[in-house]
Amino acid sequence: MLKKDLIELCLLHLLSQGDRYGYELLRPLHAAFPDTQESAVYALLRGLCREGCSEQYAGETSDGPARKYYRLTGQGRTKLAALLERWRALRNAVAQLGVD
Amino acid sequence: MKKDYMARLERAVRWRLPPQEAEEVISDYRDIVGDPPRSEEELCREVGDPEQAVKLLVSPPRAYRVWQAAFGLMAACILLPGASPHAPFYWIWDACFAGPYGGASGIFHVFSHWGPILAGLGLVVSLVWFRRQGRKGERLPRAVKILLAALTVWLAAVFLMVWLALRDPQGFAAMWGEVPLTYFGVPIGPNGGTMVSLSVQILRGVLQYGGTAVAILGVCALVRARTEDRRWAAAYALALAAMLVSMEFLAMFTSLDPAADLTSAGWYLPLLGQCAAYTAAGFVGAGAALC
Repeated sequence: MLKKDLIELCLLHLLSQGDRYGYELLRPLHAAFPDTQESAVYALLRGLCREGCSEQYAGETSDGPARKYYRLTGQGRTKLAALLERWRALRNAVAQLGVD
Repeated sequence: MKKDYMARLERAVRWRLPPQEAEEVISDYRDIVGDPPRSEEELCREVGDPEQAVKLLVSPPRAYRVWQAAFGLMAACILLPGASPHAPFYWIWDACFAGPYGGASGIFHVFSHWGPILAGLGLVVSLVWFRRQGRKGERLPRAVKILLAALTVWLAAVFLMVWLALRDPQGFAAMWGEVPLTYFGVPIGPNGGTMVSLSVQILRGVLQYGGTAVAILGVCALVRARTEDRRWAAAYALALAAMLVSMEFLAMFTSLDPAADLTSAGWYLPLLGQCAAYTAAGFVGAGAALC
């Protein structure tokens, strides 16, 4: 499982908890992976949109201009489940080696 | 500072991505960069260098490769003939302009007048490409108007210079006779071919360097047609015509045809007609690019 897959997993997981706008997705990911810049996370997010795993819509805000929000699609849920499965298998394999 | 970051990003995005995708990405980045406000330094550190950020988005790269190929073709169509009258590129000169005046050689001998063919190809590709792929702003950029005016003045100046040189057939024949053989690509000794009148030197220099400068301006216009407004392609179209006219007249002045009777009336009219047609094609192309 590559770091790219891990970041995609985190993005899909965040979206599974509710719709978010760009900065709400990029900021926590950049905090969790400090050596990965927001532009790289954005490129992955855009890739997920292109694959049909997430989609954009213009959301209302109480103050200021409308923001672009991202939401998870059915295809995104399928991909999230597949990535989660791979992540758990990897975590178990590493744990079996005695790595905490 | 944030404005600088966005300006760099917009240029890079519009250069690398197709117009519709570029607008989406720019809109997304306005959200990312604008909330919360960050300094240029913070943006480079946290978001990433704009050029690098855009490279990550070019996936799949096919669309960008197609653009690179189209740009390479359009640039070559104006730069190859435009740079050809300079020493390292004389072989291109032979292929592009030697046809009716001099003896072409080498692999292009089968057809030795590629200049107008290349320019025509560049014109057609640019019109088709930017009509289909270009982005058009609300107002025509002022710099486009200035460049179009400057190219029109250049074309008028070239025709005027040529008319001044040709209006006196005897004088022109004498002037033409002074052109040293090195101008025709004939290697001669160190003492040969140095006698040349000031008017010939000026005429040749203006056509040679001016034509090349116009070709370079045409390539700059192509870049801006991609990154700013597709109507910059109008300047490319007119630059093609201006380069071609400059080079055709230069070819006439520096070609050796011992059989030519320079004093016979109207021997140059076919060439003038040809250059007038190139100019008309340039203006028609520019008009089409502006629509």
